[in-house]
Amino acid sequence: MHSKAIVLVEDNEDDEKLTLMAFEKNGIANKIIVLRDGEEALDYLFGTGPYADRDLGDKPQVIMMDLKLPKIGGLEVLKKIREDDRTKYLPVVVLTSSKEDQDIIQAYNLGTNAYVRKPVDFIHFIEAIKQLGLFWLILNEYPR
Amino acid sequence: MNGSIQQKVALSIGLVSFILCLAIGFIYNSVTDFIQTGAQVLQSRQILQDLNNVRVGITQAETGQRGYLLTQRSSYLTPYITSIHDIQRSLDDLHLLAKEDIQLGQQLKLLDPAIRLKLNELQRTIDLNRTVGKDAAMRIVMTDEGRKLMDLVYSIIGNTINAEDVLLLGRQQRNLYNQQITFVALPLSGFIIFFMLGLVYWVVSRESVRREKAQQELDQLNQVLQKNMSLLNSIIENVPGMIFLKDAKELRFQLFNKAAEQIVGFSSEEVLGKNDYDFFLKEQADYFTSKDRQTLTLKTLVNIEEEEISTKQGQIRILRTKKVPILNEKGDAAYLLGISQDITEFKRTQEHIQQLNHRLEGQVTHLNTLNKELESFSYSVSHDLRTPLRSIDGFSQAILESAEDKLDETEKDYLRRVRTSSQQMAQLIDDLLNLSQVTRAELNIDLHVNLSDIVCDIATELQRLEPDRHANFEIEEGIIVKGDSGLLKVALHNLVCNAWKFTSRQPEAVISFKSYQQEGIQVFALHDNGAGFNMAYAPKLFEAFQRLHTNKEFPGTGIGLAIVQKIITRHRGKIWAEAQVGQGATFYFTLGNVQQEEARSDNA
Repeated sequence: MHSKAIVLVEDNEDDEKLTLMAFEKNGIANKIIVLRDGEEALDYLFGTGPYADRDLGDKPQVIMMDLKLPKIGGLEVLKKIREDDRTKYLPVVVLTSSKEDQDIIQAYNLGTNAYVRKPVDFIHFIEAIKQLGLFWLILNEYPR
Repeated sequence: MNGSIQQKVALSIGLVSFILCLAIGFIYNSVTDFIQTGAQVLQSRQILQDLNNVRVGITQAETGQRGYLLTQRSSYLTPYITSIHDIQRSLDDLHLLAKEDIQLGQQLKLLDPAIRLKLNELQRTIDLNRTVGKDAAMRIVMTDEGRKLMDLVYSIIGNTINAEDVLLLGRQQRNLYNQQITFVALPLSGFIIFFMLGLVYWVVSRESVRREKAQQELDQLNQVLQKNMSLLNSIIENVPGMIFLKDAKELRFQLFNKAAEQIVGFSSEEVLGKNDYDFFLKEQADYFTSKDRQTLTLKTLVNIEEEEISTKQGQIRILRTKKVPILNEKGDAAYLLGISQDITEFKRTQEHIQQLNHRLEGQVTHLNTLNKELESFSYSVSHDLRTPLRSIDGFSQAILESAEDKLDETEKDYLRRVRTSSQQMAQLIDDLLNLSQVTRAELNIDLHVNLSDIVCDIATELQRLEPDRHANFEIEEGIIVKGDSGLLKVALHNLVCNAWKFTSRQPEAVISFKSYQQEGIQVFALHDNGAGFNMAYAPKLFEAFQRLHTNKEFPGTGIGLAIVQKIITRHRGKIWAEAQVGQGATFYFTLGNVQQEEARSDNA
């Protein structure tokens, strides 16, 4: 399997750890790039700042992103991704604790591909990551 | 008949006088004519008499002459001389009469010479007898001359008598006619006059009856007018609004009703005939007067929204006044009518309401701020409170897995308890968020929400999740209501899940959903044959965090029914429950008539 990277935008270290554990449990061996805030996410995606010399042709398989992020919020990052031709087809999954209607509606309005609420029950969380991995890493096709 | 009674009477009297004059004139004429013709008749008779006298006289004169000639006695000459005198007297008389009788005059011109000739012949023979002798005289007599003269005289007299007779007859007829006319005209005139007088009397009496009647009608009208006037006065007096009237010239009060007295404090006796400057502060009087003048000059209604007036007691009242000019028949302003309403209390209330509104606005702003804070708090709770729970649960599970061999059962049990608690707390957070969402969410009213279908779907889902349970759902079909389908789904989900939960220990669960009419209101009932509860706790049932069972008996957060009640309340309905321990429970609810707008404002 051609293995592209998974970008995880998550500021909480515990959540990062748990998510990585969930990937591992589900046998997802893709390279996982963890970004800590919205600014870093944008730098990475558009090759700016610390990621200036990154090969932009190396596109991630999927971006899993929390909404509540330091510096630049998840919704703002999503907007920028969809506005730019280089990134507008990238699959973005919002992975968050919030189930506020407003957040869900705004995320879809800005063009998220999925909205997943992180369950508290870790077993449920592993199941959710499994489903996401199955869909976005194996089943889903998108323009090259 | 038109015209005044004076005209009618004058006309009648004039007419009567005219007829009277006519009658008198006519009668006078007839009588004069009668008298005249009477005189003429007498005259004709006199003429005939005289003519006869002449004829007799001439005959007697000749008889005397013959007697004298035959007898030669002079005594026979006496009648001869007498006759000549008579003839002469009659002829003189005839001449007098002939002055008014042309015909007679003409006849006399013939008669006079004939008589003279005859008398001359008679005298000549008499003279001859004396001077010459009897024979000479007789010779003349023997000539036929005397007889011829006599015939001529007779003939003329006869003609004249005939003519006079004709004349007399005519006069007599005319006289008779005049007499008759007079006899008829006199009573006729009298009759006409009496008739006319009667007519005048009739007209006058009729007029007077009419006048009397008119007078009565006038009296009645006056009474009605009097009554109306007093009614009008009493209306003006008792109208619950200040009414006053001023003359246009000097603006002195002419009318001041009871309400005006009550508002201003001055009695009408004090006020009438005086003007504003006699009672009110100068600036007030100036203002009133200027408005009065404006009304009278423009000849139009002037509306004064608010004006202050100081009462006799020294208080300030606020009036709302309308001033109206009253015009006379020439179109000039004669009076000023004022109508005032005491709006002092109204103004005070209005100010009070404004203050309250102001305060309320402040509170609304405050409430909005609080709501915003609450929203961001909810958001934080939703997001931030769950994150550590996830860590607790996740890492506990990680330890359980990675250190499975090293942990004994007690340690594993502790870790499982940690996980259960964190999951319960997550559920609690979710329920709390649901409750606040139900409170804040805007109502989206659907006209046809099929509650039967909703309950059916929930039942199917529950059955699918726990296929081993024996449950019998009895759901009445076609229960359709108006409301927010999303919220009603949440409410029914909570109720049906409760029923499902509390019947979990029944070998055969029965859950029914029905509706019925009670006092014209549709009531919905969800019944189960589950654990039920003690009705003593019923009042606490719908309070948040209130639980009637332990978590071990039946798990739950105690928020579900609070959410249900909130949703039903937002639909302007009511919810209540009936139950008995071990006998199951029934939850009843109603739904009010919610409108979309109402819901919005409710939410605002």
